[in-house]
Amino acid sequence: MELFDYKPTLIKRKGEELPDSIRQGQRLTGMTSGQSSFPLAGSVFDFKQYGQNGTYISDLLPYTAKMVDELCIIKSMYTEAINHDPAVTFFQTGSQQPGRPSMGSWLSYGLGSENKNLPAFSVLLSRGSGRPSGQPLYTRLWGNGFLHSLHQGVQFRAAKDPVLYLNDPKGVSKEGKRAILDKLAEMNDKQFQDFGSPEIQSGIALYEMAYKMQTSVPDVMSTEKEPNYIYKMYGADAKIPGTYTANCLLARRLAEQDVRFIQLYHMGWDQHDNLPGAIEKQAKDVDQASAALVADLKQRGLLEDTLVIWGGEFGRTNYSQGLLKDTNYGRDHHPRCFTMWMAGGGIKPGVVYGETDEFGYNIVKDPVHVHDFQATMLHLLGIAHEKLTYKHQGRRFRLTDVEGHVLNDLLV
Amino acid sequence: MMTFDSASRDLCSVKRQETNTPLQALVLLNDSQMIEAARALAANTIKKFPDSIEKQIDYVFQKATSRLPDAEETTMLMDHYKDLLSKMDNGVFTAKEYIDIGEFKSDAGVPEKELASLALVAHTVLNLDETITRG
Repeated sequence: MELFDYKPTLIKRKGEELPDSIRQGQRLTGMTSGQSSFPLAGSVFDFKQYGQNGTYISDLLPYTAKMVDELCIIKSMYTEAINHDPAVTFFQTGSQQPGRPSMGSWLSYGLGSENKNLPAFSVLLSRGSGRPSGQPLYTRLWGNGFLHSLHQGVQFRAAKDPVLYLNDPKGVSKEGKRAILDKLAEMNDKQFQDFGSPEIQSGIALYEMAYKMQTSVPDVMSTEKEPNYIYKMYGADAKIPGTYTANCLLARRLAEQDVRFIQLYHMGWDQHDNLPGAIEKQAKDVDQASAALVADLKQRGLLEDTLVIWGGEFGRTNYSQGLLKDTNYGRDHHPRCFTMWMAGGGIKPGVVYGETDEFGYNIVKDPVHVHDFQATMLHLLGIAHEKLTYKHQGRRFRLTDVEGHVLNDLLV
Repeated sequence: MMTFDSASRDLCSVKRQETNTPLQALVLLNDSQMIEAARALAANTIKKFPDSIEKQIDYVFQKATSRLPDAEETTMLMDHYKDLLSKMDNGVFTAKEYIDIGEFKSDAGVPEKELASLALVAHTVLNLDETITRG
């Protein structure tokens, strides 16, 4: 409601109680279930219309607003999960309980890698200014679950040196390192012949990848070679390693190198209180660089081959968590509706899909479950979501578990 | 240590996360501590068995994996040692630089090329899947 879903009714009816007819028994988290009232809270931010369809975008996202004709905005996402860990796990792995492969791992497994010199699944993290110490992440969110460990996401450091130990030790030339690696592979392979554990093969592959990364990573990560107009496009933060902006620029460079799946996590949302002030900072963290990434891919002719996905794990409540003041309020978690956007990769541009009711609480048109989203994403990448399976614990698993249908209306 | 999933220590962590990534391989292959450890092991081994390369290799292997190498493995490691020695100081490896890494100073009198070669063998053995994988 602060970014994409414009709800004038909430502004008009500010302070009124959330009607039961709208809430329809939605469970509450322990953070608001104790409240004696649920006052409707309209956004304090203005919305304007943009693009060929007059799409409403809030003033918090001016750069994204300019890119609206490239975006497919889905306003009718929904999930069952109501807390972060299960919800993010659900989005990434298709199950609220951890243990399953993440989407990047499924893609690495199903599509393989087009660049043997970089990890097929790369992960970049950044901390937001809206809530600098909030929202922890877990490495299992980009983990391989029961697939081979060479499918797990490789997390780059949010620092000047995204990967450490890239240099050979003194006195060892590349040819010398090669000799050591060859011997390691030979001896490990003997172990594999003797014991048959596939993890040994993953281990051999990991060492090979490490060797290749020694040359490929410095190239990819040397963003100082970018021309000035690129820094202007993404924002000054592009020069500060570890920021979301810098990560977006890295993401474009990784995409240029055919890295299969690049995931950026920007922490610090989850504004249970002091929302207006905090979300302004968060939005500012991500707005320009996200829009720049799409524009940059487009100008390089890469957007049609790259699917860009932007969003979170659930939405926020239309009522205020805590005291509702004129210019301050908080919002609790809301699984029943939230917004994501996609761009490129065969998705229809300049489209707004799905609608929520005037209270921004329920979906009234074209609901999209997380599994539907995943099925569509897989389809766009050339995978039939029901067919990419892996047998484990006696049954076949897939990212969409036992649900999900492809949203054909959204395909070009 | 963070590369190996140690806790970040700003939050309580009940169980360590488990990952297995090329970043860890990079540490084990290139970190000066590992190289130093391999060299210290090699230096001590040469002291113990100055006259038999085969005994040196057996000892290094046993220290890392808690077992003796079988016949095939012994052949592989002997070939490795000879290969490394032949490449020492002729463009592929530079003994003096390699044994200078880190702070551990080995005794004078240990021939540099032999020390570097055994240190490289030790480093290789320390990187074996069997050495680094628990269980």
